[in-house]
Amino acid sequence: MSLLVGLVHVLLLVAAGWWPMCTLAHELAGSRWWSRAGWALGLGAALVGLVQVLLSWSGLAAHGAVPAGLAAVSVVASLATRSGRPPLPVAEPLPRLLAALLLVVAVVGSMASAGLPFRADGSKFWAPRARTLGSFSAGEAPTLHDPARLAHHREYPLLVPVLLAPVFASTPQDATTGPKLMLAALQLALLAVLASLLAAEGRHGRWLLAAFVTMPLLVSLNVRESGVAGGYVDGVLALFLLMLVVAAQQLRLGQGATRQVMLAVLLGAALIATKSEGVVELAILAGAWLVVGPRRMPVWSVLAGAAALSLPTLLIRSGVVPDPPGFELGRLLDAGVLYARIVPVMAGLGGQLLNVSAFGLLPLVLVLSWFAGRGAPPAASRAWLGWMLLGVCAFLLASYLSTNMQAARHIHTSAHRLIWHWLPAATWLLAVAGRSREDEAVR
Amino acid sequence: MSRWRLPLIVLALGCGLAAWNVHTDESVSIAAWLQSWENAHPDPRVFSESDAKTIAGLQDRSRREDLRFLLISLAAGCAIAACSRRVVREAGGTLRAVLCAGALVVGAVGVAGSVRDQWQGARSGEWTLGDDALSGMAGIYAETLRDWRQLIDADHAVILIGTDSLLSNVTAWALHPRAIYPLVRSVPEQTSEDELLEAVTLMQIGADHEVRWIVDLDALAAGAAASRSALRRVDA
Repeated sequence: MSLLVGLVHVLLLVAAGWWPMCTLAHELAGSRWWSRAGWALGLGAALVGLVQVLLSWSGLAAHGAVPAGLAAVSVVASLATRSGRPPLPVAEPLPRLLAALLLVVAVVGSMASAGLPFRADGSKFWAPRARTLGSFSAGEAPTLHDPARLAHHREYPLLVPVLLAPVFASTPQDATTGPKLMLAALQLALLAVLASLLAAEGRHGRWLLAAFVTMPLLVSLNVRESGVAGGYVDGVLALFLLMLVVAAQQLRLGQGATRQVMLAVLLGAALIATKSEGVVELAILAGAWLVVGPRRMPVWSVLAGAAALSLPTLLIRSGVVPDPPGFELGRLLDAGVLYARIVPVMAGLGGQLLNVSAFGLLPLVLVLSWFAGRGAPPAASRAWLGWMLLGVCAFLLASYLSTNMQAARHIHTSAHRLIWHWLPAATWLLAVAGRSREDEAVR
Repeated sequence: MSRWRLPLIVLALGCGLAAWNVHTDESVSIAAWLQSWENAHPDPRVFSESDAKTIAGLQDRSRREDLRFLLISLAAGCAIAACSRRVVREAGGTLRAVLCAGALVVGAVGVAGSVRDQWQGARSGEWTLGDDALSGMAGIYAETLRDWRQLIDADHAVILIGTDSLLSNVTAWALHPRAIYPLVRSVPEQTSEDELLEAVTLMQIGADHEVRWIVDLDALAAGAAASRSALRRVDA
């Protein structure tokens, strides 16, 4: 029963995102059905989530009628505008071995995610928040306004719980497979979008794809905050960030301006509404874009639009009793603290390159790809990625140097999931840079 | 390619031996230079000795896992690259072939481990596609928790006392939508039920609810051997 409810809601999200996908990301999604479904699911999650947050802010509980209504509108609009879309070139099929690998990882990861109950923060923060938002608006939800209650946490996510809320509401009390199936589907969407993008980037892209799908994080039950064991929002942030980077790359290169701005605005707002870390990630992306260019004007439109669409989220958050601060920025000016922490923090963050239990050998493969391109004409994507990585490193360093937790412990519990947010986008940008070099070599 | 074959074979053997060496250890400690730095410059946020030991143990075990995994994958990657010219050609270089082949080995181990864990979970009831996740989550406590739902009305408050986070999470999950107030502190074994009740009654936690209940996680974990009731109504 719960599984069926989850499946129906996944299909509703795909349907709700289908028309936005056809309108805003028709060429980006390509001709493969699974890639189009992945883009549609990602955009559907962003759109439905933002509408649910808006309704929750305006006093309504999250309800299944919202995805159903948006899906109906999207299907009608898709059918009405079908003839106006340009035909897409047929995509080259994936090599059989790679396709088999993708399929195995997709099936095993989804089974692990859907079949296991919520754990740790999932059972004490996530699920209660999702269940509460199915009965109360954000202004009334006790878990948002009573600091003594379990699951109260201002920084905890909003967008994903409102997506899960209707699934919980139509599911038997002790069942988790429906909500977990929806989370598994969002991880599948990430795989589908990235696989399609990397497959289009030649041999280098396909090797990067092979390294990406071998990450234990996608299937393992023992990696903290992985896609299947606790880190339910991190895969969603990684998905939104990847799609946003793809849209922004088009804008930087001056392609499809208005549609890409709308796409980037939607995804930027979804990033902000998902978790407060998304705000920082959007800022890093925009900052690097402003530094590197080449077309900088769209940055401001994207930031303004994303801020406007995420206004309900920001208003909801501003009304929530804050938790004790997790960071003390004054520590960044305290020489004693910096001296004590800088070495362990650098060692801890550097050690993430060898976090094989979570990332496999992907970080080493990416480092190799980066250095293999040294000396070649700098591709636009490589320079942008470089500045974004600098931003990410600065953010991580500042966070762990100023944390109120013991720094080594904080890194142990969170660095890998913050890095995971960037891995799909970084992998794609390196593949694009590699492709540019191949093109240069051919010329 | 042929000039790389011998070094690759030597590297594969070296990594394999090192992996075996790590495999036989229970944990891998932090590097000596880093440990001495940490000792000389302690973090401003210090742990109690037992907490520090727990965290260090966790980190040492995960370091061991990472190192073992890394060495196994590099050994396999070197061996594959040494044996197959085609892999090196397709990958576009020896180093890339080593890493990609090693990554595939890591992936295969990860998938196999996941399938094994899911299979075991399915047999123990933790993994299910059905509608009852509570039995798998709570195990022997599931029936008790279901019984409590009959006693505690949906608008009552529940104060969870104890430090067992697993049991606390499961109890909170099972008792939704009741208001859950966690009190993360251990209750000394000699504390009587009445003393605990009196202490909680004096607290204002959850006091805006007409009826409050205490769930004593230590007593729930102890089962029949517990000296206190696991569930007790605070307000008459």
